[in-house]
Amino acid sequence: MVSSTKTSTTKLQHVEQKLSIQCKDFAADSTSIRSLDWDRSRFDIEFGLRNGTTYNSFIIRGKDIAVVDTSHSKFKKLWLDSLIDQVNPQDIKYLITSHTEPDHSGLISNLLDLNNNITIVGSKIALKFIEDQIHRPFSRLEVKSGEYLDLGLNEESGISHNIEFISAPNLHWPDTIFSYDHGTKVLYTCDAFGLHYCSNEFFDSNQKEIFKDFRFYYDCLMGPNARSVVQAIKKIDKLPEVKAIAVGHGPILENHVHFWKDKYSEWSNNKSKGNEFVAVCYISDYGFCDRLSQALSHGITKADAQVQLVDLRSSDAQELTGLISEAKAVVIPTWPLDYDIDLQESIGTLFAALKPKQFTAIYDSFGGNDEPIDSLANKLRELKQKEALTPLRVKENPNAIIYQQFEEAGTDLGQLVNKKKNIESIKNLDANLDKALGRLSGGLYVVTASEGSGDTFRQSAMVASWVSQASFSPPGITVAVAKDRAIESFMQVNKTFVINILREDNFQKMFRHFLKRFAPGANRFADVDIIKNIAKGGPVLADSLAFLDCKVISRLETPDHWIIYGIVENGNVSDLSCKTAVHHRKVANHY
Amino acid sequence: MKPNYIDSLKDIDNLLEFNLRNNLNCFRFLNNKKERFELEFNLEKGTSHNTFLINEDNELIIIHPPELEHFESFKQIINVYNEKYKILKINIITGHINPQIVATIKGIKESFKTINIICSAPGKKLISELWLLKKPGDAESLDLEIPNITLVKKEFTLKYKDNILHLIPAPTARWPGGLVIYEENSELLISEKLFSCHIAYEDWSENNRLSTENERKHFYNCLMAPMSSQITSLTEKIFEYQIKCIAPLHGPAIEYSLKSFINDYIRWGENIAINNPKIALIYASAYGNTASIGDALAKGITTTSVEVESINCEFTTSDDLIKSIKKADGYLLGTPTLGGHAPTPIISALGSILSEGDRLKPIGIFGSFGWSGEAIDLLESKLKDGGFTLSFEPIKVKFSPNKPKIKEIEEIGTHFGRKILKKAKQNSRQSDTGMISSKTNPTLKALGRVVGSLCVLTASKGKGDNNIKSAMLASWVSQASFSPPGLSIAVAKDRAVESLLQKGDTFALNILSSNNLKEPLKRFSKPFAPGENRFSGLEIEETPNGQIIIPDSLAWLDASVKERMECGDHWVIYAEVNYGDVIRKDELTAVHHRKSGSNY
Repeated sequence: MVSSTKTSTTKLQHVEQKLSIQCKDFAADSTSIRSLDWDRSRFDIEFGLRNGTTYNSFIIRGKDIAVVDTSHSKFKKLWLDSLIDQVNPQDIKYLITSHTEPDHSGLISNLLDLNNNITIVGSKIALKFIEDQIHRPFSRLEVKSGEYLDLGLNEESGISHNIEFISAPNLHWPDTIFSYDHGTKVLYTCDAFGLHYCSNEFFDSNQKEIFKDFRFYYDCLMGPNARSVVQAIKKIDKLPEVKAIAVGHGPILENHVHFWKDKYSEWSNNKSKGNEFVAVCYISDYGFCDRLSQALSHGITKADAQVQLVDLRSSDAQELTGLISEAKAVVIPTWPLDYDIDLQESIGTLFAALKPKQFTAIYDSFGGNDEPIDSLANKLRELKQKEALTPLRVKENPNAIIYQQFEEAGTDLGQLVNKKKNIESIKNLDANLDKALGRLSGGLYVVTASEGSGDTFRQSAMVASWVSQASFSPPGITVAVAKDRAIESFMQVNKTFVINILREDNFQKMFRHFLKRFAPGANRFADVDIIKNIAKGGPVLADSLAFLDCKVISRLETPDHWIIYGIVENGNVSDLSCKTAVHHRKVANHY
Repeated sequence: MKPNYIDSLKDIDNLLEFNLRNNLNCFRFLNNKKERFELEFNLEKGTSHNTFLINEDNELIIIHPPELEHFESFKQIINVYNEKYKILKINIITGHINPQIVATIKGIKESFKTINIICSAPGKKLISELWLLKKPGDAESLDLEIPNITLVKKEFTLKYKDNILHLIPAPTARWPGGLVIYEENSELLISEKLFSCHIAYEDWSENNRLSTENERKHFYNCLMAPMSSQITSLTEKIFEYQIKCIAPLHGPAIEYSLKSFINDYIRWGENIAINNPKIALIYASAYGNTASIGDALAKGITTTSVEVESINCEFTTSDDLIKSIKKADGYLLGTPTLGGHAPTPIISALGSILSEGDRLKPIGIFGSFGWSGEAIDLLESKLKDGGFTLSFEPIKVKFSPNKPKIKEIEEIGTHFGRKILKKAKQNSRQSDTGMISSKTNPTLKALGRVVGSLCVLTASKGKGDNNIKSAMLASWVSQASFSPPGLSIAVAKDRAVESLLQKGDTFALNILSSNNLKEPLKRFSKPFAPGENRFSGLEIEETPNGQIIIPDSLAWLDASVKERMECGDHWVIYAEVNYGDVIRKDELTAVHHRKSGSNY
């Protein structure tokens, strides 16, 4: 106990040193206050690239002054000081809340302490969330898509700031609303188009550098809502012109607005092709529902299946019935036992909309007072639903291991839904081509990787045969990893992994073991002899012929795999007289 | 920015007009021709030429006039200006100077008497020579008086009512007359060859920083790399201006991410390692053909990590020349033949090599000629008499080379580079036991345990006279996707076949059989002479895309390059498989087991 307390304080001190603030005017009468969080590394999947993040808030000065979003509560002093530096709090008339996740709304109460007359502007759901967060009365203005808030003319610049609202539900919370300033042509989007990337570079001038972070963020938070992204972009396209996108995380997008927007369209259109999808239900602002459902969704999209996130608290009955009855599979969280009337109605609607034999899966919200997951499972069994996954239980505050387990479960579910489609596409392969490509033989390898320490320690493994040397100087190799592999998320740029090369005379055991289908989150190394401390990247199998300790340098995307290039930093051979096991195939449509 | 048109010009094919600011306009001449021989057009995206026009009162300022092929369109543009503004005087600012551009200026001079040319001192020298130069047999050309020339000796400013032009001399070995122009009011940098790329691009500027990276890098590698230190110092100098937009001579303008782009440009130069052996490539060129041969040699050499210093001896002082000769680990000397002779600067460069050059160092000679190649013969006999041994047969090209010839010259360059590397290694090995450690290094031993299928990659590109074929033995290959089916393959940067594996190119992969290895191994593992036919005497077949199937294959695949990723000293290529078939159904794929990861 004592030692664990110690480590947590040192961590805290470390974090405190690495916070800073940046203020800059970026458009007429518009200032951004960016809170720079240099080494935020939560468990949340979207921080996988570990480049820190920023929380951006904005001031727009028309005749009236509005603040757009606040910051994370850990920036309390820094942010409030900078704000007071920029504007007299008594002059602020509105606070526009794009979305009420605590990293943007954490300082609302502190702002109201400075001026209790500020009117909070937001969607209906956002205002309700704020009630639950700050527990104090406040003046409010509820806005919907297509409505305006006129901040009036700024006499100094001669520019009039008329704000139009665009609702963008599910990007990535149900409450999200975009604001568009007709005076400056700046679009405020909060989480959408953002990225977790912390640097002093105010704008998106280094496109190449931030692209992978932008993509990663999209995959984690927006990909699962691809359908909603497509809808939101349609609305954005109706605006006169967007000169800059003022995002809530990362650099302000100004140099490549079209590029970023086109990428969102392209990726989302790709993901929302076809009609079959998994409806992942969650209850916003309850327990860990929100993050857990995202991890699940991320896993589902890795298997190239589609997801629709459904908030049980805010969806209306008609919408809910439609989505649930059309879904190929439905994922349901445990709900709070003390639910209110709205939620009760939604759950009723959900059960009424389920079709017999539809796939279902359930998970713990871990909100403290949940409907027991077993009773939920029984209910579904009585309804004769097909169970797609064993119930996903959460027994402690979710950590990296649990998020990974959810992601893997999502991938299993995605593959289940897509099974028929995949079999069809394999059948379509030209038979002669298929046989010829199958003649491309490779060795047999087991790729392993581990990450984190203590509570967050996790590891993964997979059998690989699509491995090849790629360079002499520096010595490097490439591995092709299917996008839906759990280990794929361990193999981001700068991370490390190990290639275990299997022996020709003794490969069957390892080969069979790692080819098994593992339950989500299952320990791949139970009953396997491993050597822990000789390679940085992950465990080395005691039975392997040789190992290569590698670091990822770059990744190339193919339609269904990533080709990962790693340099070999260390390695050794256990038996010089033995050859590498070789994998000969007759066809190319499986590994 | 989309092009806008002056009414009477909108029907001219392949011409785009962009209004940049008030009276500052850019005219872009597009060229979609793909079959140009020079190396820098290898990506086959066509090209474009940006000419800038400013009219002030009755004066017309032309910045970077186009080559002769666009003269007819250009004449119409000038006529429109003339009708509208009653032009009395034309001021031509030109940095890039070649016979085709001088021909355009001559054409303007025919209809406009009051022409003034503004250029650098080396530019003046070139213009004066080219103005008088006639190809033999071309007796009909007019005897036009050479226009007045204003010299730009150091940076100076031309002030007009609406435009303030800073003219900055930017001499390089390849383009001694180079001029970079900065317009102060619009913060526009007209950068000439710097930052250029060959694409027939229709929008004013690139959509995003990454969209033309591949093409700009290719242009850099073909033309800038041999003079990277000059380019880097020019780029650094330009960095000091407040720039909003860069408009190069060829290709789209760059408006976004300028800072990171300029940094990249400097970094591309830095990647050429400092301690590598160096070759002095000394040449003079009349029509640019000898220079093109030099470019191809240089490109071939740089793939081996040997550095090339390109020296245009017409514009280099003899002191500098001698310094470069002393530093170099090998020499290349290129000359045109003009009226049966080598130009004077070449004769004096030859003298410097004979007096200061090291006879043990590799040397090669090359040149283009029209009717006879006396100059090359002269160099050959003088060098042989002086005790030098030529590393390869002198390269003589009549007029301009075609694509296969350029490819062959590139391969000669690669061989020459390898020769220099080998020499450098011999010298250093005596003091270093590096080779022994790589044999015992456990990491490399472990890497050697990564196995692969033995294959022969074959590639054939271009039609008729421009067809190029190549092949290599490959074992660093693997499947890389299911749907669509795809594979990855690693190709060393200095492989001849590498330049036939650009995005969009097609190739065949012949998978070898363990029963039938000897013949293909023998044929494809021996070194090929530059341009040598890899398939002579073989009964080859073709895939549906015309790629080559060799007789000993177990199976073949026909694939198209989709993506390339730079991986240390190799490119990893991802290709989608279009066709394939198994020929020897009962045999097993040959798998290559190695003892070390330090060789194939």
